[in-house]
Amino acid sequence: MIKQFKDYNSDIKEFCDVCVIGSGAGGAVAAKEIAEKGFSVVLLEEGGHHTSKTWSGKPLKGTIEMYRNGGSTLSIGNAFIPITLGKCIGGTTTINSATCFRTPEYILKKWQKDLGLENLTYKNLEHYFLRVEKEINVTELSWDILGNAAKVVKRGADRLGLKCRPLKHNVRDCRGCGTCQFGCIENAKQSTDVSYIPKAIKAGARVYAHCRADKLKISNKTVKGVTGSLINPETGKSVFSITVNAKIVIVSCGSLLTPPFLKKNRIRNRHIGRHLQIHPAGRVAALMDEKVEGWKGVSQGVYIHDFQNEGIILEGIFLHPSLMLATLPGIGNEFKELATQYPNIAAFGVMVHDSSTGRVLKGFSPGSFLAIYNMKRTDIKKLKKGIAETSRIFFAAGAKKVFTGVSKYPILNSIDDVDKFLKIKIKPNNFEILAFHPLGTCRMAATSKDGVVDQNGESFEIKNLYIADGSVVPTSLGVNPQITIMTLATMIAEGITKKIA
Amino acid sequence: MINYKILKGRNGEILHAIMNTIIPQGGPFKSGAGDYDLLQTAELILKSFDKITRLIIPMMLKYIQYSSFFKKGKTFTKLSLDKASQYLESMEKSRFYYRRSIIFFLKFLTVSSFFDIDETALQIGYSHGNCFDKKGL
Repeated sequence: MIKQFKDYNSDIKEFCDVCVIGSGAGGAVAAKEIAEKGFSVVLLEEGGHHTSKTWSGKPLKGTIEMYRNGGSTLSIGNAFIPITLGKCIGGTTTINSATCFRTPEYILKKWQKDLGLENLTYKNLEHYFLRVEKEINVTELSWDILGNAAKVVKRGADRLGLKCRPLKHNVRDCRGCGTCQFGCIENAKQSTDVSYIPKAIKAGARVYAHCRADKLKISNKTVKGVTGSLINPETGKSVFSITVNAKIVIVSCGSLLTPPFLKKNRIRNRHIGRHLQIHPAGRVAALMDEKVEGWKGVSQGVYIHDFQNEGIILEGIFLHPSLMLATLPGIGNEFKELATQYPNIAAFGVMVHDSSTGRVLKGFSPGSFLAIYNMKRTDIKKLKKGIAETSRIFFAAGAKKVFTGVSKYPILNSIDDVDKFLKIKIKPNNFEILAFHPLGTCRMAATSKDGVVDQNGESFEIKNLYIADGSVVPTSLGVNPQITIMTLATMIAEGITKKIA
Repeated sequence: MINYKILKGRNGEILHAIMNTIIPQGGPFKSGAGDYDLLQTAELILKSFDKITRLIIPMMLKYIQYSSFFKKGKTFTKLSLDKASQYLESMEKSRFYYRRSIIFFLKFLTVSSFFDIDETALQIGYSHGNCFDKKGL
């Protein structure tokens, strides 16, 4: 059973072997793996517990209830970049597009070479990949479920000689309802709230929702537990306190929240909060002659990786009109005219394997942070090229107009405009950039000179303090990071169980 | 009834005028922002944001209200629908990032409140929760 605000009526004191903070791709995996080995586990989650019975799959309710700050988290720098984060049982896995990629082998080799992560070879990780993929049922969906938007892109890609393939998803019996980002209405997505957490609970883990970890109990450079607050979700105010005495603490708050949490606890390491990478992404929409009805089908169904060598991956994206139409140009009747053509709109995303890095600083209030990220010229070029190539694909598929999401050249009317678009100079703040994958802010490395945690995920500074979330992933991956985070968390959990056994 | 904190008084009036300009009544489909109480929804969205963003919202609204005086000779809420529409369009096409960001944010607030209503989404052909009968693998 997951305890929530309504179940709290006094302060709580817990004793356990392992306390996990955060229930997303890192925390839930670690909690389940450790609990199943017979150790006592307490899992704390700041957000609430929502299920397919309580959510509607509609963006408004979904973002207000399940996204951190209602989806308004941003990085600042040479552009404001919204970074979506989940704040609920299941963390961001509950609101992601369920896309699964293994860590590319060349990235693992880079980590070995640059950071001395010799354990992280593809061979060593393979059985963890398999375990995770089995647990969350990673599968390739049939084209029928992927919807018309995917078929339009495939048609364009085929005409240009590009390979458009179905993405792998962590789903079971998916019927392509298209609400992945706001809670799967059929529980088909195997996010951690559906897959790992029920198993952790079955193995004896105690799970507390609406519970914010405030402070680590540290003595003699060894962590001894966590103190936190039980939060009223309506007011955001603390009503009771929780104290967890634990032999081991795993911090899994995510790349943007783990660094401020560590800094707040006066843990010193020069790499905490640095090396932030986010996979900046753009969106291209096209007005087609045919009815696409892109909302019918998996919202992120297919991908094109012909430009992967250049650091660009093109992935599907389709959203509810309340989000999709807000990004298209026009005011008044011009906007309404475009809105009526919504069924004829197809969209696709561009994701950049970034070389730019940023920082995360401690915010002013509990659980807040300040992310700073400046996009380098090389990444701008990649994004521009990705938008141009996606536009070509849409024109090849028969698009009448393409909406680039670039303020300097918002609408392309023909394929000739694509070349003109490539020639203009574009600044970062001319793009409508989004980001979904913050990584690297407490990176794993062989020594404390290069990172915050060692190859087992343990802090170099504080004994028995582990980190298992996107922040330990040392660099951006160029692909969606869910499987990488889960794999590393599985590996870290295995190391912990061996240690405390 | 919702207790307005961010959009009470003048702020609510300005946002109401902006919403009516972005999605006016009539035209390609009948209903407009003015047909629904979108301020309630907007207030709910804004309340879920962090403190700093919530503090910036009234500043954004007042920027639109008073900056239009310099370009159009009247404060925004006193502009005719045509002129208000032209003014917001000029912001959307502006070369200044902060002006584009303000209108982008307010348009997002308007559109997400408006099309969250099933009835309005149906007018543009969208119906929610369309699952296929057939299951994927």
